[in-house]
Amino acid sequence: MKKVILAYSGGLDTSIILKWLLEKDYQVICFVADIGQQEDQQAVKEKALKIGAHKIYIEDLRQEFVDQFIFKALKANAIYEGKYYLGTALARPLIAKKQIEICQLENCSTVAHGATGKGNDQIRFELAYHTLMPGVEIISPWKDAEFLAQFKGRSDMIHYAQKMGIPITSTLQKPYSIDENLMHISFEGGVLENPEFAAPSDMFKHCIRPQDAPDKETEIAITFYQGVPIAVENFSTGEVIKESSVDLFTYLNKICGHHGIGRIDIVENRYVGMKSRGVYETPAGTVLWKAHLDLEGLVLDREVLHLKQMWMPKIAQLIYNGFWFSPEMDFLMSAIEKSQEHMEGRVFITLYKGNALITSRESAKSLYNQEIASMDVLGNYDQIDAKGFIKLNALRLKHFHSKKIKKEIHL
Amino acid sequence: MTLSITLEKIETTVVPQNLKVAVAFSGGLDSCLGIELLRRVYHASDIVAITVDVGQGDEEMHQVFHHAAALGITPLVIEAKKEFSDEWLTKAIRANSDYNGYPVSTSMTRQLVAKLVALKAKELNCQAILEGSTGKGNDQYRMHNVFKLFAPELDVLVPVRDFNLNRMEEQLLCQHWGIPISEQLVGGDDKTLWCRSIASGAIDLNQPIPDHVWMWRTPPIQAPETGEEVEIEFTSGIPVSLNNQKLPLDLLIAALNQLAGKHGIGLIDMFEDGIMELKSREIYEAPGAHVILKLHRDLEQQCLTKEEIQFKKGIDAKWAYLTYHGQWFSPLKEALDAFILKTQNMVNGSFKVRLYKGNIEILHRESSHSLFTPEIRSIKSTSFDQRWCNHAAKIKGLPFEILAKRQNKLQKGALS
Repeated sequence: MKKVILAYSGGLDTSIILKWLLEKDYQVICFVADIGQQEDQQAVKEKALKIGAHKIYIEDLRQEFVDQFIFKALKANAIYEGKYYLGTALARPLIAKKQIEICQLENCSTVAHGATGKGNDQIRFELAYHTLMPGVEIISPWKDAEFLAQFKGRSDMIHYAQKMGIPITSTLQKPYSIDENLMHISFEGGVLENPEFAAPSDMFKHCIRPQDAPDKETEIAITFYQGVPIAVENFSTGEVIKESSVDLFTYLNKICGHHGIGRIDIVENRYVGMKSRGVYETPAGTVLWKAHLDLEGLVLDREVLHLKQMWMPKIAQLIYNGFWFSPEMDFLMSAIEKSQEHMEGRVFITLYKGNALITSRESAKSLYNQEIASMDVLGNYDQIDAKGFIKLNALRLKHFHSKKIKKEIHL
Repeated sequence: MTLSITLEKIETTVVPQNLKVAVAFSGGLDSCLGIELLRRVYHASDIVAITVDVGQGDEEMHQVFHHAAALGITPLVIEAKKEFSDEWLTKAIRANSDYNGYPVSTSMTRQLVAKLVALKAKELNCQAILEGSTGKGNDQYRMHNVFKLFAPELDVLVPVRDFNLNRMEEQLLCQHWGIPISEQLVGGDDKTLWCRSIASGAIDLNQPIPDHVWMWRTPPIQAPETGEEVEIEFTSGIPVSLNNQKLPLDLLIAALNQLAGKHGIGLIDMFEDGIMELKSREIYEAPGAHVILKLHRDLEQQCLTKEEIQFKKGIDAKWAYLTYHGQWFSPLKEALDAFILKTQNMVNGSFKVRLYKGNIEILHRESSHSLFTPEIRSIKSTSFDQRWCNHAAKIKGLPFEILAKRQNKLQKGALS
């Protein structure tokens, strides 16, 4: 019997794919990745088995997701097109990796996923599959002519589900599609497809409207070590979260969302060549990225900081396009890791109505020298030195200008 | 691989029927076979063969008509030599056109051909365009982009892709149907004024290249024992005279191809990273381009500021990448052209060089826009008070003093 490992979410699409594969005489092993989506895993399991899955793996990948994926992106300050924190793009390679591990464990050579043929996720999944298991066979129903002929629209799917006794959950009525994990919730499609249309206010799950956020501010501090957060202190409540990175992240999601921080509404450029409108909630990510960037200002050497800044868009593009497992990503990340050696310290932040205001920062590895920079103290800096520095910088400019006056150079 | 299998493959493939089709006709194997397939398999209602002259030379244009006659067609010829040198090569020279060692040439002409064919096809109310790219190379992508920009409503037919044919199968079909072929090397030959590409995608790892394939180039070992001195003048980044004779760019490049080729200059034998991210070994012959690009870079180094030079390197690399990847007409590439053009006002000057057995040796430089100032820089001059440098060094060195402070502090911390 042909065997396949299906990346299963419990939603309508992957449930129908599960049934469709069974109809084609596959033995289907479902794999559910727990990456922090708030879902009843037991119900998902029962549903898969009821439809006819041979077996189901539910893997808690939250720790690996935070430590090996989110925090790596944080070290690089990776943001796609200046706005998107890559929440879904970071999760896909991890899901694919685990799915391939299960595939090998089960002595299987075929994997399936339910990403559509128009989006980025198909690319992120399939590039990772091919890289981690060369020769793997991939079933991607949304690119299969037979499947597409059978399911032309939403109504075909509902009809099929009813006929096959697949339970249809309430998510069906939602007029947009949702992807949730620890890093973010993304909304796209449906009513959001028109960028002129404002996102419905009842859509958001973590980040309340800044107008509805508390009138009282919350003071927190985030402690970093080697570029990653290791503790969060809430001075308003006295809470300290430091044992587990998953708890830390979850806690930040909660308090930052509560203060209305992290809503993002953008039009982005997909790898497949089209523009798409996406709305995201990234409360913890927004604040962590901001704090990390601030601490780098204090700790990193100027030249290292500037080079990192140049590479960042490339790293974000690689993650977005699905090249997490690639030689160029390894190459860039090794330099990023090196840059974070001394990245430790505390950043103090006030959360208030959609704002994360950095009020102060401290680090044992600071390169900031108060004595030299101060306007008051002379320090070890002779201001007369600046005269020579400027004179030499001006040599080139003076020469250029004199040529211009002599009309040898036309500007 | 027998003929009958190939014929069966062709007969069983479903392809569009009864269309009026414009053919980008080069006279090579693929476009000749394309004509025959249009008649026999696509059953085209009308065939319009279009040949674009981008400076492939008299011999090749002669061959176009010879092969066309054998196929019983009369190609419509569009003259584009002037457009190629004035609108394309000027931009390439100013951008130091270099895609990892390849001075991008076919990359440009394919897009120029595609634009002119698409516009003509629309004008003549064709319903599809056929082109003879190989299914493994770069040109299919370049031409597709341009077809879709200038004639988005027309179908694009690429026979090797449609029928999944390899070169052997194509040759069998040509023999079977009596189609003229005259390839020196399997893979063909793409000549342009700027650079000639030889047997693209067909050269094996250590396959030697026979001496008789060269059009311009004499291998250095056979080149004249006495070199030759040549004078070249640039205005706004473009070579405008050769040996004190003003020449239009196309004639100047043609003359340099002969001159520099004779002295063994112009071989490129490289691994190229294609659009499909596969490496291929590519052989090019580009004597004129070698000389012009070397001198253009040298002149920029003399006339542009340090910051312009550093920044322009990245811009040039991106320019070549976009051009190679079939994005000549993209908004980004056009924006880069504007930047590059702005920098070239200052790039004026002249050279005397010696061409000798593969070498281009610069003997003399002159530029009215030079930023070279020996009166300031030379260690022989007393142009400025060198004591200033003491201060400047202190300011430049400040970050290192601060790093040392952190290092000391951390070491003390580690000891205590």
